[in-house]
Amino acid sequence: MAKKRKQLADKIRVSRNKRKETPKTVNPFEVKINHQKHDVLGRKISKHDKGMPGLSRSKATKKRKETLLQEYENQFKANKFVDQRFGETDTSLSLEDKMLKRFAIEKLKMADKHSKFNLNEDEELTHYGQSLSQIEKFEDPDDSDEEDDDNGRIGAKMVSEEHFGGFMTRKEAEDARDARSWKEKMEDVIAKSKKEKYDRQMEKEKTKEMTEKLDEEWSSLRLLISSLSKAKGSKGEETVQKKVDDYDIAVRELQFEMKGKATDRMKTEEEIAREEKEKLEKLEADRIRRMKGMTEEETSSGKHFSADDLDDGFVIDGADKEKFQVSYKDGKMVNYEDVEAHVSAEDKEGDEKNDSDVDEDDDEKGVTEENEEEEEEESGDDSDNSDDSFGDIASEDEEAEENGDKQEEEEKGITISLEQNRMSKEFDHKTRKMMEAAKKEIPYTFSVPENYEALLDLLQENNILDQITIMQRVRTCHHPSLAEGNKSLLETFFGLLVQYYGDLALQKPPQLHLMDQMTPILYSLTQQSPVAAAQAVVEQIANRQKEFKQICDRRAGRGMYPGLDTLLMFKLVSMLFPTSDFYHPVTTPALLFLCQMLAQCSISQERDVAAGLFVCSICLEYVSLSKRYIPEVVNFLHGLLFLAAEKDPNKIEPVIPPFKPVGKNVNLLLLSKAMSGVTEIKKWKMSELLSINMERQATCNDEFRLSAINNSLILIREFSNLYAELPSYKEIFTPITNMCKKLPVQDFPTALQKNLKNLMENICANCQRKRQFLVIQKKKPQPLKMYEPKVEEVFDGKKNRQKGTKDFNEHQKLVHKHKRELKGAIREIKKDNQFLARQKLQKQLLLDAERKRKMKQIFAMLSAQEGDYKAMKRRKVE
Amino acid sequence: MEATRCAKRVIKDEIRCIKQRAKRCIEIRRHANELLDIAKYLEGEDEQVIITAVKALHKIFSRFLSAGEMYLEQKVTEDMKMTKEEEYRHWLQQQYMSVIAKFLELLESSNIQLQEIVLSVLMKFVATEGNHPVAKVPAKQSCFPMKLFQKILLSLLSPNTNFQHVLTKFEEYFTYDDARYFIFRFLLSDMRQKSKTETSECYLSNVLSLLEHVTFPVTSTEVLTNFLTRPPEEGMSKKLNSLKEQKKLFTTVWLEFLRFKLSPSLYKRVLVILHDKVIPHMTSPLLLSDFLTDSFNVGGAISLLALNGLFVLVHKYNLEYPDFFKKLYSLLEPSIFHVKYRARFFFLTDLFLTSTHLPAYLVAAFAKKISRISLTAPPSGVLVAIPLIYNLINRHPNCKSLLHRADGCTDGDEDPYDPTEPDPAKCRALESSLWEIKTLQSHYYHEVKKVAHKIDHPLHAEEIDLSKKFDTTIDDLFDEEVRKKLKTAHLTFEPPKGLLGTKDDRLKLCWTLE
Repeated sequence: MAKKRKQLADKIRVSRNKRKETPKTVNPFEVKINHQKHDVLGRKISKHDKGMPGLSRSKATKKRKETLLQEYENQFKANKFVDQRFGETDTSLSLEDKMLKRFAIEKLKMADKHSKFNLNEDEELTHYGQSLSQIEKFEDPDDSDEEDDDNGRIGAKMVSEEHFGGFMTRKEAEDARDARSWKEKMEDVIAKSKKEKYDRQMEKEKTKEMTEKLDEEWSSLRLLISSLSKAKGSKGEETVQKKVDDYDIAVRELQFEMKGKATDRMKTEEEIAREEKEKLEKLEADRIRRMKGMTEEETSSGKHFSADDLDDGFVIDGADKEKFQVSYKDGKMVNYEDVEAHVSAEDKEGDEKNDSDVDEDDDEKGVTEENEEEEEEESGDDSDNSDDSFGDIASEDEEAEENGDKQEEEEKGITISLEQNRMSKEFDHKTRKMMEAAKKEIPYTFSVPENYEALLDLLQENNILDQITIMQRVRTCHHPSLAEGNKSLLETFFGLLVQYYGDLALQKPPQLHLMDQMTPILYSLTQQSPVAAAQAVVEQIANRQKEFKQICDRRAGRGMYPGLDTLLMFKLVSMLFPTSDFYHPVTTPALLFLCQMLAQCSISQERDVAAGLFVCSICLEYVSLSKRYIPEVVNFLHGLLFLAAEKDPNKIEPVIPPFKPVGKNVNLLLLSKAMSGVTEIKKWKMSELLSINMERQATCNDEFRLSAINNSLILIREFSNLYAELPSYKEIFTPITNMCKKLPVQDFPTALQKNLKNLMENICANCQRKRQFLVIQKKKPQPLKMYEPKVEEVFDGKKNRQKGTKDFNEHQKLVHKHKRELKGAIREIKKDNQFLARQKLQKQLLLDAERKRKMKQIFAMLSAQEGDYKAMKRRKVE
Repeated sequence: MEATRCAKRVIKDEIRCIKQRAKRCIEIRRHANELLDIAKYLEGEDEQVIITAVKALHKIFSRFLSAGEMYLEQKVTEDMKMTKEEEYRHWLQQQYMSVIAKFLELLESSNIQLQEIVLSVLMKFVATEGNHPVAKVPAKQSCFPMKLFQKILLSLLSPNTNFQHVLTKFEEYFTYDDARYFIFRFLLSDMRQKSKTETSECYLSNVLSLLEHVTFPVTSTEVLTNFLTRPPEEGMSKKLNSLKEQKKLFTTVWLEFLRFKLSPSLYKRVLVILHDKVIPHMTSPLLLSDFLTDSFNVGGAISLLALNGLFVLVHKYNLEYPDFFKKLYSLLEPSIFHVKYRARFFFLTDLFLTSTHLPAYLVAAFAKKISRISLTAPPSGVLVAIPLIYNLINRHPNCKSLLHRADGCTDGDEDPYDPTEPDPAKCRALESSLWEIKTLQSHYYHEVKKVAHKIDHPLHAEEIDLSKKFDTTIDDLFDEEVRKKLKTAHLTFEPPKGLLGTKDDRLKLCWTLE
C-alpha cells in the first residue's frame, strides 16, 4: 500500500512540477525564523533556521488528499469507474471547447479509417517489374569506412544516372538493349563507385607528393633567401652576440646542468630472489647442456641439427665436421667419432686432398690416433661405444710403440685431414670430461615433492652434502616471491622435512650429521612462513604425545621414553622457536610434554636414565633464559641421585614418583666397584645411548653409571644456578643435598669428588639467602579527579566517532540511520492518522448537518401542515 | 580353504539337525529319546553348535516343566513301584539333572557369550521351576528351587575361575526380591564355612563382583512384591518379602565378607564402592567404622579411599573420629599428586575443609603443607592445589597472614614451619609465609604462573570453583594447548649453525653429536 502510495505521489509531484514553474512569491508573514542566540564560529549553519510552517502543512495536507484520501475512499471498492471522455477532468476547458475538441477527434478517427470503396489503396507500385518498396531497400549504400572528406557519397551525376535505373536520363532504346540482370547492374554500380574512390585516393596522394616536393624546393630556396638576408645583417648580429653577459651564461649553465643523476635503484627482495633463481636455472641449463656434451662455443656458433634432419646436402668438409651434434641411437649416445669414422671411411679420398699440405709429423700422429681408435672400435662392442670412448685418453704412451707398425698403413695412402682431426680430438676430450662431471652433479632445479615418498625418492640416494644442496635448491627455486603457490608448496615441503628429520634419527645409525646440517634450512623455511611451520611442528609433537599417551594407558600410567627422533624434535623446537616466551604455541606444549615424560616414565634400565638426562638437558635449555622452575626436573635429578646413593635398608627414602623407594631397580646407578682410578669421564654419544633397541649389556657397567652421576651433577649445578633467586630454593634443593651426602664419594674419581664438593658448597651458600615475609602489594592510590580541560592536539571541530573498527563503525552508522528512519516513519504514520480522523470527522459533520437540515425541513413542513389543519378546524368550528 | 568350507557345512547341518530333533522331541512323546542325542552335542567343539544345543534343551525342558510333565508327587526310592508314566517322569528328571550338570560345566568355558547364554538359560530354569515345581512343595515354603539355585551360585563362586564378567549379568536378577534374598542367604552360609585367612582371591573376587551389583528397590513400602518365582502364600515367609529383613541380611553378609583377608586390589575395590553402594543400604553403618578406621591407618592409597567412607559415617551417622584431621594432614605427601585417586582425594579434602568452624592453625597447616608439596607437583596438580589454598584462606581470614604480614619488615630468615611435625597444631604454620607459591610464580607452565601471581594482590572474596579441575591430567593440559588456534608464531632470530650450534645450547654439557 505504501509503495503504491509512493508511486502515486511521485506521479503527482512530477506532473505538478511540470505544470507550474511560476516564480515563488514568499509571504513574509508565513516565514518563521529560528533566531540563534550566539553565533559560534565554525559551527555548521543549521538547516532549520528558517521555515514556512503554514505552507508546508498545507502542502502535506494537499498531498494526503491526493494520495491517502483517494486510497481511503477506494478502500473497500472492488473496481472503479474511469471517465475517459476527453477533457472531462480538465477544468480549464470550457464546455464549448470541449465539444469542439471532441468533434475534431471524432473526425480524425474517421479519417484514419480505410474506406471500403477506395480501390487504389492496395495497389503496389512497380518499376521494371520490381516492387518499388523492394528497390528502396538497396537505396543509399553506406560506405562507413570512407575517410575521405566527401564521406563516400556518390557523385550526383552517378546517382542521377545509375540510381533508380537511371530512368530520368536514359533513353528507352538503351533500356531495351540492355538485358543485364538487376544484380549485374548493381555490381556495375558498385564497381564504378569503387573505381572512383580509388581514383580519388590516387589524386590525393599525388597532391601530397607534389606538396612535399614543393616544400623541399621551398626550403632550399629559403636557405638562399636567408643566407642573403644574413649576409645583409651579419654585422648587427655580432653586436648582439657580444652583448650576452655572464649572468645569462650562468643561467644557461644552471639550466642545462644535470639535476641529480639517476642511479640504479636498490634491488627488491623479489628481484634478488628472481635473479638467484635465474642464476640457478641458467646453471641448470648449462649443466644439462654439458651433460649432453655441448660446449659454450658450440651453442653460440653451431647450428642445431634436428634429429630428424635428413640433411640432403650432406657434405663433410672441414667446417661441417665440428657441427656434429650429439645424437642418440637405441637409447645410447652415439659418439661423434663413430659417425666421423664411418663417414670418413667413405669420403676420405675426396675430402682430405684439400689439406694435403700438412707436415709429416702431424700426419703420423694423426694417423696413429685414427688407427688406435679404429682398433678400439673393433675390439669394443658397437653398442657401448660411448662408454669406451670415455675410456683412456692417456693412451699416448702407446702411441710411440705403435708408431712403427702404422708406417705401412700410411704408405697405403690413407690420408686424413690431420689438423681437423686433432682439433676434434681435443674437443672430444673436453666434452667427455664435462659430461662426466655433469653426470655426477646435482640438478639445479627441483619440483617440490608432494608427499613423503617423493621426498625420499629425491633425497635418499644422495650423500649428506648433496641432500643439503638439494634441499637448499628446492627452497631457492620456490621462493614465495617467484610464483603464486610457492608459499604453500614450501610449507608442505617444510612439513615433509620435519618428518624426514624425525625419521633420520630412527635410522641405524642415526644420521645425526645430516640432521645437524638440515637445521639451517629448516630455520630459513620457518622464517618464511612461521605460522605454517609452527603448525607442522605442533602436529608432529601432538602425534608423538598421542603415542606416548597410548603407551601410558597400556602400562597403567607409566610411560616409556620415546625414541631419539622425538627427543631431537624438541631440540629442533628450541632452535626454531623462542623458548623464553611466556606463552608460545609450540614451545609451551613441547615443554609440557617433556615434563610429562619426566614425571611418568618409569626408570627401569640404563636407557631410561640416559633419555631422562637428555630430556633434563633440553629442559635446561628451554628455561635457561627465562629461569623458570620445573619441578619435574628437580624430582628426576633427585631420583637419579637416589639410584646412585647407598641406601640404608631399614629406612625408606622419600622419593617422588616415577621413582620407587623399593624395588629391583633401586640400585641402578650404584657403583659396583671403586672407580677412583678413572681420570676422564667422557661425554655421552646420542646415537649410542638413546636409540630404543639398544642392548642393555653395553651400558650396564660402572663407566656408564659414573658418567650418569657426573652428568646429573652438572645439570644440578646448572639448575641450582638458575634457581638461586627463588624464595623456596632451600626447600627445593635440600633433598638433593641430603641425597648427595649418601653418595659413595670414596669410589668417585677425584675430579668428580671435587665437583660434588663445590656443588654442595654452592647450594649451601645459596640456602643462606634471607627472605622476606610475603606482603601483598599495596594498592595504588586512586588519583584525584582532574578538572583540566581535555586538550585535543588536532581539533577538527567534530567529534571523532571513528574510534572502533571498521565493521563496528559501519554497524553504528546503520543503527543510527535505522533509528532516524524509524522515527520519521512513525511521525508520518501519526500524521496520516490525524488526517484521516479529520476527514472522517468532517464527513460525519457534513452528514449530520444534512440530516439536521432535512429534519428541519420536514418539521417545518409538518408544522405548516398542522398549522393549516388547525386553521381549517378552527374555521370549521367557527 | 576347502576344509573350512566343509567344516562350516557340517556345522550348519548339525545345527539344523539339532533344531529338528528338538522340534520332534517337544511335539511327540515317543521321540523323547532325542534328548540324549541333543545333550551329546554339548560336548562338541564348535561354539555355535553348543549354543544351539543349549537353546534347544532350554526350549524342551521349559516346555516340559511348564506342562508339568516332570512333576512327581513323592520322592522316588529304590524299592518303590512306579507306573509307566511315573517312570517316564523320573527318567525326565534324571535327564534334567544331568543336563544341568553339563550346563554348570559349560559355565566355566572361556567364551563369554556362551557363559552368558548358559547362565541366562539356567536362571530361566530357576524361574520356570519356581513357577512349576517338579516335586510337591510344603504349603509354608517358597517354591523357589533352592537346590538348583545353590548349584548355580556354587559354581559361579568358584575359587579357581574369575567370573567378573558373567557376574555383571547377574545384576538383572537382583531386581527380583526372592532371588536377592536367597543369594544373601547362600552367601552368608557359604562364607561362614570358609576359613577367614586362607581363602582364594578368586573366590573373594567373585563374591565381591556379586555384591557389587546388589541393588535395592527404591520404594517407600516395606513389603516387597517383585518375585522371580511364584510368591509364597500370605504370611508364610516374612523374611522374604520384607525390605528391612533383607537389608539386615545384606549388612551381615557384608560384615562377614569384610572379615576375610583381602588383597590390596580387592581392598581398593571394596573401598571404592563402600560409600556409594554399601553404606546407604546398611541397617547400621556404624558397624563399618572399625573396618574403615583400620583401613585409614594403613596408609597410602588405601587410606585415601577409606576417607570417603569415613566421611559418610562422620557426616551422616555421627561417628566420632577424634584425630581425623591429623590423619588427613598426614596423608599430604608429595606422592599424592601422582596417585590414581588424586581427584577423589582433593575433592574430599576440599569438602572436609569447607567448614568455617575449623581452627585457624589447622587450616594454616593444611595450606602450608599443600603449598609445600605442590613444589614437586605436576602442573595439573598445582592447578588444583593453589586455588584450594586460596579458598582455604578466603574462608579463614585469620590465615591471611600466610600471604600478608603487616609487619613485613621482619626477616623470615628460616622458615618457622616444620614439615616433619605430624601434628598440625605444633607445626607453626601460622608463623610462616607461602613462599612456595611465590616460587611457583616462576613455574614453566603459564597457567600455573597466572594462578600463582594472584597472591600479589588481595584475593577475590568469591570461592574458586574447583569441580572441573580435579580430573584434569597433564594430557588434558597438553591437548588444550595443542587445540588452541594458531594466529602468530614468533621465531628465533639467531640462525642455528647446527644441532648444537645455538648460542644458549645446553646439550653440549653432557652430549656429543655422535
